[in-house]
Formats: sequence, structure tokens, C-alpha cells
Amino acid sequence: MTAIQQQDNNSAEMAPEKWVDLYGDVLYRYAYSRTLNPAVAEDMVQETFLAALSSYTSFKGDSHFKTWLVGILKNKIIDHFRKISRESPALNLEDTPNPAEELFNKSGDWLRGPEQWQNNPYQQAEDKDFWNTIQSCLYTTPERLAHAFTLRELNDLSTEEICHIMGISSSNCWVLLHRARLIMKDCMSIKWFTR
Amino acid sequence: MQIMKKLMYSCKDICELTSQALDEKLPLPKKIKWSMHLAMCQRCSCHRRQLLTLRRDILHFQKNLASLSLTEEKKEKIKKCLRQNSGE
Repeated sequence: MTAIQQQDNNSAEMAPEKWVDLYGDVLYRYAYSRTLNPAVAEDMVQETFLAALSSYTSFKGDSHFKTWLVGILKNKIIDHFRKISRESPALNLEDTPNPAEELFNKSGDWLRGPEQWQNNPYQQAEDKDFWNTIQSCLYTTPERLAHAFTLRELNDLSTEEICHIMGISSSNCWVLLHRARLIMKDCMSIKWFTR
Repeated sequence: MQIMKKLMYSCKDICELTSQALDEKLPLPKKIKWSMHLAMCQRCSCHRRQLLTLRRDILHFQKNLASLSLTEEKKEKIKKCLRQNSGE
């Protein structure tokens, strides 16, 4: 066991309230950057600490305590999106906007764009500006498309996992991701990459 | 050039394959046609680079989130909840 891991596991022995001081912000940043909803992220963090408290005896110390907490949080986030998907109406692709219709002519050639982007914009920007921009773009994206994009690009889940969570077929998943990427890229192009 | 483009996929088709390629390996015959089109089409290759840039920036800012934190009020609320659940 390394010194850092020993120190990390020592913190696991502390009172649970100390966990909040040591890991609260780290967990919150993880949850926020994967849900883009501050209230949901706060709830996820609270639920993670409560779950850790009740299942602490199962922590064997063979990984970092923080890693264990993040593992619990990941499952909480997946449960959150699974619940939302169950509560959403059944997917109907015909009702979902297809941005390709505005981007390409009948022959499949580009009608407009892509716009040229400046290089390395994030080096001059603060992270909160980036997340505010992504959030505003997601809010204007149709809900199902936004969910698919969030699960794939913010949570790095495989398409197979996304299909299970959203209760959709793999071909529908590809369509949702394709349309979501076109909408998000267009929005981010205007608000972030060409500002 | 036009004949070559007609033998392969349209830009609209390539756009769909570019999205699919972000998630999984394309079957070899499709991958060959997709790669050949990207090599000849500035717009489609630009579109692909932009999708990769968007993904790169998301990853970058997920690792650099120093400005975000729980409020003290929220931390206290969580601590209170933990105290109540640990039987203190």
C-alpha cells in the first residue's frame, strides 16, 4: 500500500462528517460535470455519503477510499438517468428533430458550414464559462437527445449501456447520438468556439 | 472528383458514419470508404475534427473544475443527515 493510499484510507476511519470536508467538493464536481444540474449533483453527493455510511464495512481498503466513493456516485448517476428515462414518453424518432435536414441538400452535400473554429479556446477560459455554455446548449436540445449526449459524452458510457439505461435499441441510440451531436456542435460553435 | 464522390458515400452519409465511429469500430468496407471520403472532403474532415474537439474540451474541463464546490450550507445539511443516520 502506498503512503497516499494509507493516508486516504486513514481518512476513511474518520467520522463521516469529515468525509464531507475531504471529499464533498470532489464528488460534487464529478456529479455536476456529468449531470449539469446543481441540485441533482448535490443530491447525488448526499446519497453517496449515506450509501458509504451504510455499506462502509464492505470497503476493504484495496482501493483508494475516494475511488470507492466515486464508484458509488457513478452508480447513483446511472440510476438517476435510468429513472428519468422510465418516466419519459416512449421514443418516437419521427417526433425528434433531425438537424441533418437543414445541413444537407437532397444529394447529401453540405448546404452550410462547418464554421472555422479558433484554436485551443479553453486555454483562455474559465471552467465555469465552459459548463454554463454546455448547459445552455443542452437545455435547448430536445430532452431525449440531450440525455443520450450526456450519457455518452459526459459520462463516457458505452452505447450498449446507454441502450439499457434509456430502454432503446442500438440503431435508435446511434440516431439519437448523431442528431444530438449535430445540434450540440452547432450550438457550441456559435456560443463557444467562434466567440 | 465528382465521379469518385458518387462512387462513395454522400457527405450526409459520412456525417452519420463519423458519429458512429466515435462510439465503435466501423466495419472495414465502410471504414475504407469513410476514410477515403474524409481524405478528399475538407468539410467532412473539418466536421469530424470539431466533434473530436468538443469531446476533448469536455474531458479537459471535467478534469479542471476548481471553481465549483458545495456551499457551506449544503455541506452542513449533508453532515446533519449523516449524523442522524449514524445514530449520533
